[in-house]
Amino acid sequence: MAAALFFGPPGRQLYGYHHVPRGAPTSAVLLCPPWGREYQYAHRTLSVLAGRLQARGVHVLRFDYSGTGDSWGDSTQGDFQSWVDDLEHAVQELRLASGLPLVDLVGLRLGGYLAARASGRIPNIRTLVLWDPVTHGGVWIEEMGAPEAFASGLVELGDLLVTEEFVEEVRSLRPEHMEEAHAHETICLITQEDHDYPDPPTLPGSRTDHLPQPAPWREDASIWSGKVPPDAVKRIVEWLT
Amino acid sequence: MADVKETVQTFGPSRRLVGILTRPAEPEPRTDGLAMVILNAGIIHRTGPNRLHVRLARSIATGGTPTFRIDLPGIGDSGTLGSGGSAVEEAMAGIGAALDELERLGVASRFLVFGLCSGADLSFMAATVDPRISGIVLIDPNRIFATWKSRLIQVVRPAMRPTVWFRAMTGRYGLLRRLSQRLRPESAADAVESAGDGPAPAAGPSEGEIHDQVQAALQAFMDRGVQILYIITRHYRSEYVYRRQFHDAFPDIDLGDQVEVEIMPTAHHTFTRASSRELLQATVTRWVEATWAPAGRDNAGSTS
Repeated sequence: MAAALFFGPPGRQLYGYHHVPRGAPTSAVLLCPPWGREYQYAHRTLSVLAGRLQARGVHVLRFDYSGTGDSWGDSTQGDFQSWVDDLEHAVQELRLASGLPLVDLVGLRLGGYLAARASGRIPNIRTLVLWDPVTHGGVWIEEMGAPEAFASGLVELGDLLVTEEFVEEVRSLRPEHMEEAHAHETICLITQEDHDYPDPPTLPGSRTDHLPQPAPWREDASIWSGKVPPDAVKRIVEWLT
Repeated sequence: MADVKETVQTFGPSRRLVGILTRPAEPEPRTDGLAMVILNAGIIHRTGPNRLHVRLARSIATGGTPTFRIDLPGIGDSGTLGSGGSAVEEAMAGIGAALDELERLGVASRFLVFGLCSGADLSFMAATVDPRISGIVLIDPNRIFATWKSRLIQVVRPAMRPTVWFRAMTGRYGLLRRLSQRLRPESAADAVESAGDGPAPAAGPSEGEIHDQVQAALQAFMDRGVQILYIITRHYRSEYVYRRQFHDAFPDIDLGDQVEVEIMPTAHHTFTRASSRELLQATVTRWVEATWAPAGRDNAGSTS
């Protein structure tokens, strides 16, 4: 069973898709997506991961940050603080829908960075999984391609229109920002050994797992989408169930 | 966003399909029962490539026409229908269910269907079987129909490059031989060419049969008053080479002003650049407003 819904504050509705398990629930997981085309390519992987967790008795909520996906706003209205706020709303929604106070967070790419920051503000986060998190904004911008000036002070970054302020915010993204992360357990899953990122952040009480896999956020040109990395999905399901 | 209201709709058998209904907040929704349904582009979920469909849906709805962005069965957040049919059959059932849902909600009773790539093919197919569909937007459908003129241009255009002239004059390749080969009719229908890189598949209907089927469908569309916006990007720059190629490929049908063709030579197939997305949004919005102005204004679509 599943429910597609809008939630969040009036005028800033966020899209969510709640995977409801059969029988007594075992736990609740919030999936925090990447941004831009990385999200477009990874959408299927997150859907598959949610389905596997649901089959193990887990309430799962997938959602879109404001200005992304089906949520309100457009790409010029996004910033990290708003998205951390959105993540908090999503945790509230998941707790209400599941009736479970403890929540796990799984963040992919920028979602990992945002989940780490949000976990420091949200009590009762059980497990925090940071999946190939974006940790250095400059490197991420290089991956997306150099920002190009558009009209009206806007900039095209990773095929989306954003503000110059947003580009500066991305550029200043550092692993130290994630040190406010707080959860009973924190696991960093690294599946891309060949990327240019420096070492993942060392968070208090965290461990890092390396598992080479296809990158779900990169495009497979034959399908305009990313490949689902089966072992990474399986590993995360094992951790959380 | 202040100009539109968006709601999540589940629909279809067991309500397994998901769509976002975008309705105008101001001005009042149109009263002539028209809405646009936006299909998936390939397997990209209903937001479209780089959120193309979201912005388009909000733009169209702001102008007064409700839009419904849907995930077809097995794509995005929609489950399969479990019909046991092919993916195309499931998709067609999904489109029909979306139209049923909008009718049930009292949102619309006649429809425009928008599709990019495989979505364009499905839009065309749906319009052949569902008389509620009054207009279709086809962007880069998977088959381009050639004409003698397009073949000539395909040969002459590259031949205008100085390097080609140099090679031709120095005898480094047989320009006239290539020209005669390209202009030779491939079939009695003399009009069909696969858009793919490889040869036509051995199985299935012949190119001529496909042309005849499409021609019959187009004739039925013209008789029903179906309006078509046909958009070609740079993806087909070597196959679709002049504006009226679509009209010329079907010389036995008077397509009149029911088919509007727009060539967007700088746009990528998935509209990666913001400028190309804005161009597409402006083009489709203008077409909807000009062709489908609500009753009381002069327009072609509302009288059909």
